[in-house]
Amino acid sequence: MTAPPDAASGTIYDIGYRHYTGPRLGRRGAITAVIGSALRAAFGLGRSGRSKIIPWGAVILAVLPAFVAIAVRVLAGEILEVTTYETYLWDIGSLLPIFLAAQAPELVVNDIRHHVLPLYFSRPMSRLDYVGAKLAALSLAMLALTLAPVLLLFAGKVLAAQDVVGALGDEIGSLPGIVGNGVMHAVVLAAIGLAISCLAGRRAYAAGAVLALFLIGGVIGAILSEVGGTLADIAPFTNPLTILDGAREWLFGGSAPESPVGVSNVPLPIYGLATLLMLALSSAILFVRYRRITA
Amino acid sequence: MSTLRLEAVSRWYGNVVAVNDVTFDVGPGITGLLGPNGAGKTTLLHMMAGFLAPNAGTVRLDETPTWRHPDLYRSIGFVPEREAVYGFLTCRQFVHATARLHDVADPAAAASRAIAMVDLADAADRAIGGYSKGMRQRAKVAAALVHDPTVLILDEPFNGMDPRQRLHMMDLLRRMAAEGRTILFSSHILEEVERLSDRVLVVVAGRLAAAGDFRRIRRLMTDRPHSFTIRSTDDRALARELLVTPEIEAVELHDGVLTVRTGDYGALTRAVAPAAQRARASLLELRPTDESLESVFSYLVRR
Amino acid sequence: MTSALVSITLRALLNRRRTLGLALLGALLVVVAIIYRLSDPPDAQSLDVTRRLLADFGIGVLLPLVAVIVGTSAIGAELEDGTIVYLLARPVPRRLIVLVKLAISWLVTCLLITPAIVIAGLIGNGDVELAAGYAVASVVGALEYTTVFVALSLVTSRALIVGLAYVVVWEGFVSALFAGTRPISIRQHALAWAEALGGPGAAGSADLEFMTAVVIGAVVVVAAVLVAIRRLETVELRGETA
Repeated sequence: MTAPPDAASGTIYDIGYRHYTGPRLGRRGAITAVIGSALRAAFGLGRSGRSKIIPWGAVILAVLPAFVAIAVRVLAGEILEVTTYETYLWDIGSLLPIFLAAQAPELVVNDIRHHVLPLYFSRPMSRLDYVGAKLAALSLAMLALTLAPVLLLFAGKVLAAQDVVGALGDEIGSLPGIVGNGVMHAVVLAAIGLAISCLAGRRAYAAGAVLALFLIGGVIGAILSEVGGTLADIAPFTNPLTILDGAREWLFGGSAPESPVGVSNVPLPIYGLATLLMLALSSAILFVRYRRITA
Repeated sequence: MSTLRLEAVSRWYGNVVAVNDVTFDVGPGITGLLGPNGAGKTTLLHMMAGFLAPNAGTVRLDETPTWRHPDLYRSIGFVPEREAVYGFLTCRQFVHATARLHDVADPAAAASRAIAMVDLADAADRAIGGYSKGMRQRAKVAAALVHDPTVLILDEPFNGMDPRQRLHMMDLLRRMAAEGRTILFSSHILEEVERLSDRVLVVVAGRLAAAGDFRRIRRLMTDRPHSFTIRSTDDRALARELLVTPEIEAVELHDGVLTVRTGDYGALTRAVAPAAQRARASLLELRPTDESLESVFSYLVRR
Repeated sequence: MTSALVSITLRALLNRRRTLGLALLGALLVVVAIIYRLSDPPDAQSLDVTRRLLADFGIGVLLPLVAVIVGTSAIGAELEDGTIVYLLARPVPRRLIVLVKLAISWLVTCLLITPAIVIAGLIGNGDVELAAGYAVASVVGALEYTTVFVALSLVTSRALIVGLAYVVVWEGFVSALFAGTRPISIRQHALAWAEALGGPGAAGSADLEFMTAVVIGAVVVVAAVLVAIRRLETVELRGETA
């Protein structure tokens, strides 16, 4: 029988806890762990079925045009061009804000709202590491929409050809553009999404703010570009997606027919500058917000 | 004079049973509702305050069911556990608006009275958002008192209060009980309940484990021996003498502390003094180790 | 009793930082109209551009965005925070709480949207009839949006997300592709009012018969009010963890 605990003397019983004394993963381990869990959050993995609807729905819709294009190519040959590498992201443009608005808040809002940041920062990872890991994870997740479908289209075009090696030779030149554009869209959009989300108190408000930015920017841009003149010149700069499209055209060429970039007379390098500016501004917001946060 | 009456009340959430076939009355005076976290205290209180429908059984205030009868709030004051308040209002605005929602005849005077009762007059014109936990708690109580209810239901009212505020609030509740109001409060801090209430209801895992005066409850628990610690000038000699007393079941001298256990509460109290005399020891202290509500409670929880 | 309810609701809705943000959205509409005006556009074009500004931007984006945030926070945010208990634990008919909350969110939404629409319309083209038509459309649309979103916030705890999804996916996407879904799009109901009252400049705003829009709109509002009242009468408040 164990003696009853008594007031006169204190005892600490050995109930067999083992302390871990082996090597620890350190900063790198912490960062990969955050990236891993954020990636899972971005796709609703390990969460309820309802939270998978939007991310996976967006991914499926984003891939769909590539499948259709490949199917058309297989059935009808090269007569019909459904979509091209250059216009692909512009065509699925409305899916990007939806994915971003739904998933960016998942990664950052609740950590702030429920005051769990000190738990992260008491590990061997700095505040900057945390922000960087979240940004990396969301960028990787965005690639599922900005890169994967276009790569699929690429693979389909090559494999559907009679002469696979020859087709590969024809298409391989597009590959740097595909990858470069996909990565650029992913990183810039992820930064914007996180920057807005980290300022919001609730996930729903963050989602509303992200959507508002793209909806309003898109509507204003569409109206202004129809007005013509100077207003059509500035129209692309109301919407991050049009700015990215302009930067893509500057870097890799090829224009999307419905994009306001086409009717604007602004020199293309300006779009590159504006893209860098968006990235810098978003990073600055993230940096300042997480440096000042007292948890 | 109002009585809250629960008859065979059950409430479940999905397949989790929160309250299981509970029957009791709460009449005038202070009653403490005691139970570990997750025992169903808040569910019970919310059913009594008309915010949850019982899945089975009835919850009535006198003769009226509390569910879907907002008129009853004329005689009920409710202090929720959640800390959320209208942070953008001052305490006076909050209590005053509450008085107006109750159609109190002179809302301004009623608000001032209620604020004075919780001792918050000095801070009444500051926004509640800037209040400390204890002050918020008192603002909530003031709002619950403003219409002079005959029934007061408080969910964890002492959370976040410092000892002085706690004493003040206990005083207030005692005064109100003395005026014939029905007061029910929940707590998991035994010391509070012990000091305040005439009557306790103990809920464990959704079931009513005990009801009544807790000392009497303790005495009813005959299958568990009472235990006492004794300090005297000669513990060892006293232990020897006590051991010959037939009603005493065990005597233990461990690390200089003498503990005795008995099934008969009265027999021990009668036996100690003669035993000390025989052992030529002076009694310094005789203390029931488990007469506190804590031990009653842990007994009921474990059973 | 009612006045206390009104003042608490008004302060809860107006006292927050996001009201300022929402007001800025309205200001943005005016700013775009000013920029457009400064570009000295030809008269023939300005009527059409102004109409598109009011329809696509004002009614199409600003109105639902403001209404979804105001509507879901009128009762929904109080439910989530737990402050609703300070209204429900009163001898006030739940019906009255719902109606006051609805009226206030309608009013706030109109205050944030309608002046911006009128000013933007007058600046963009100066056609008073067009501006007036869209002003009425924004008021009617605000009523329908806020009632629906208030009711939604009593049905699901994720009302804001669901509401946004409705606006973006249903009204923006589905009803653009499938004309058959337009009779159940609140945006189309509002635009039908603009077309009916906005004079010749507003022609072509909506793809819906005016009477259809009025009838369906009225049914939606009444149904949403009844749902909201019914839900608040039977709303259950659990403790902290629920």
